[in-house]
Amino acid sequence: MRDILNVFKFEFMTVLRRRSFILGLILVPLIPSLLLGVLNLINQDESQSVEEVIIQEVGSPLPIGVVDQANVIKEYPEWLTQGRLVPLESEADAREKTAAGQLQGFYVIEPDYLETGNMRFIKPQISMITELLQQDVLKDLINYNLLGADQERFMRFMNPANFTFEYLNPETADTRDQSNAGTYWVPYAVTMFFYMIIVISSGLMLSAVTKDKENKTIEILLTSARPLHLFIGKILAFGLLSLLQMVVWFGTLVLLVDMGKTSLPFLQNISIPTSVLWASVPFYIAGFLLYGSLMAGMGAVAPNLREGNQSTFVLSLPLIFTILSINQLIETPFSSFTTFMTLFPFTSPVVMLTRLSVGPVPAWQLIASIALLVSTVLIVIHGVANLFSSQYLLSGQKIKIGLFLRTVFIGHPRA
Amino acid sequence: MATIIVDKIAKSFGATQAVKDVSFEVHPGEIFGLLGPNGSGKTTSIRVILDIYQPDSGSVTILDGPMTNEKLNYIGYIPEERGLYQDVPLDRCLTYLATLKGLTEDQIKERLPKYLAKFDLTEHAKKKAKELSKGMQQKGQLIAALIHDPEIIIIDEPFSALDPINTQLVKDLLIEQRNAGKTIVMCTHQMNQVEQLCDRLVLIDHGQVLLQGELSEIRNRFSTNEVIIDALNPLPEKLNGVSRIEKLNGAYRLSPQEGLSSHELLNELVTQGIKLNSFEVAVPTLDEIFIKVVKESGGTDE
Repeated sequence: MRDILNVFKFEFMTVLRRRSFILGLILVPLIPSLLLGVLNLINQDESQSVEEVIIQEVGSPLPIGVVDQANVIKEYPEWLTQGRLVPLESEADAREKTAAGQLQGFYVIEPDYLETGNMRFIKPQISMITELLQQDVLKDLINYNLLGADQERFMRFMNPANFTFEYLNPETADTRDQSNAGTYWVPYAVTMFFYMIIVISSGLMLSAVTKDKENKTIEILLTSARPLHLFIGKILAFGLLSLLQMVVWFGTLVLLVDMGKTSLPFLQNISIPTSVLWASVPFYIAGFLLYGSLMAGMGAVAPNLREGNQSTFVLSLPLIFTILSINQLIETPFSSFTTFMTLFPFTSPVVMLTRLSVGPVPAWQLIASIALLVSTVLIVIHGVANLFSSQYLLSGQKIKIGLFLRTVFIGHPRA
Repeated sequence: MATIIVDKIAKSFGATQAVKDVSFEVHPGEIFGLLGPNGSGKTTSIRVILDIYQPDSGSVTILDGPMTNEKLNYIGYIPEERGLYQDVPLDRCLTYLATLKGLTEDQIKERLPKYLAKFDLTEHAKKKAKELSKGMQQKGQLIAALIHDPEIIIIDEPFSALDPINTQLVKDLLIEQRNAGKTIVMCTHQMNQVEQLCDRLVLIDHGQVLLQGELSEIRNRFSTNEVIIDALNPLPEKLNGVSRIEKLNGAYRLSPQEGLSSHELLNELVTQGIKLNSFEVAVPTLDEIFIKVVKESGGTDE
């Protein structure tokens, strides 16, 4: 027990004092926080949208002229142009007003526009942002007029369908509110976040074990502590470190989403369900213990970090498969496939959080998932403990994936 | 009573028999040399002693019984492949290794500065191992092996990477530990160091013991009764009582006839009017014994 505590303390403090860890812990949440702060400053005047502020701040308040030689624009409704586009009689007139500083520039809609779509934009200088915004207004104006200057028809053109979905097979029903983009992006972000943090933190276990080999301290350690104690001390230390990292990063993400609603309108319909918050800790811990143990086992049999890294791809396959299936998981949360992925211990640490961010998960699935996950973690830890023997730790031989998996999941006589 | 008793240990790795029927004892207050060519089974034997490997057969008795977790704290070990955490300051690394050997923080605070001063490392204590020279790292590892005041010190190639000054420092340290009653097992290829330090030794090759005993007794065992003389005048081709004369660099190696002792040979030479500057019995060096024994046993892969 004393050895486990000593290993834990050393590994924990060594990483905690590492500049790269501290920077990662602080900078990852700090950068989006600063960006949000800047947006908040820009958006202090609540009557203006960000788009308007950008136009005001970086662009010119001057309108853009339109010389319609094709005669396609009959009306310039104020509700659409908001004074940004003004009609002009001739190109000469437009050039004169532009030269006089009364216009940013002007569009010339060519006489053969209806056949070719050609138009020119004459301007005195480059202004990328305002040009893009004004071009959108011009396109909308042309669409409006091509549709017979009928506001109702134009609005339908802009939003041609409001779908409601009915599913013949309730298992494959997508129960999300599909008019709210947040119902897709929140589960997507949650899935990516937990995928990445489990991969990153379990990778630390690989380097923690191979480090002892590469620094050639392993033989001294083996005459001071039992291999199993070294393993337990390390996994506890890195487990706590990665939990700290997860809580800081995920906590910041949740706070930013909440605080950003005032300055970023697209966040207004986004919320991270509280069930994800409370489930994130046990599922993350179990996920780390599962993948962290496997990576530690790989570190025990790998002669160095490079070879260990090359072999971790096989171990990460279930998580990679989760990412490849992300659309299916979000869109069909009650399908057999998603239920399987929710229960399968090698995908459940991520998929359960995906599911909870889509909507409620049946209680039996929650219980079964955590029970299977914990059982698998115990089996894997027991199996990896077999790899933490002197024979493997002191061996410089190449990794044999088959032997590794057999030892972890079936067992192997100790050296 | 022996501190370490190795009794007919054997250890195989797959089809390779690394050690077979190796037995020896090491006593308190002695420096014991564990010698052998590369790949002879020395490291495996040490790992079996340290309970890193379980022997296939045979047994090891440490401090009157089998190895336990507690007894690991009575051992200071410096393996052949040694190292320190490269990205960790030396004092933190040594503190960690000392805590694993059961020292409390107070004990470490008291002992570490003394050892750092003794090995001239005080001003380098806050440096990371990668910023230290090889010799300094070697001294750091010696501190890690000694700071918990172990009863048994097992050290593989103690003088590698050390300059003459630090070699002397380590020699003095080993002698100091021996005089303090500690049991020291030393593996090295440097036979001159073995001759200077070891009280007894065992020579193994291909996993088997070829030779063991006290250093002086082994030398006598391999003594050929030959003498080396430095004569004032050139020797004649034949001398009474001498079966063979070999000219060396400025001296002669004489093989006495069978039954003739070195004292009797000296008398013969004087009687024959040979004027001598020096006369010494040719005791074989450990290097010569090592090479002779290993070659006779079937040679080495090196």
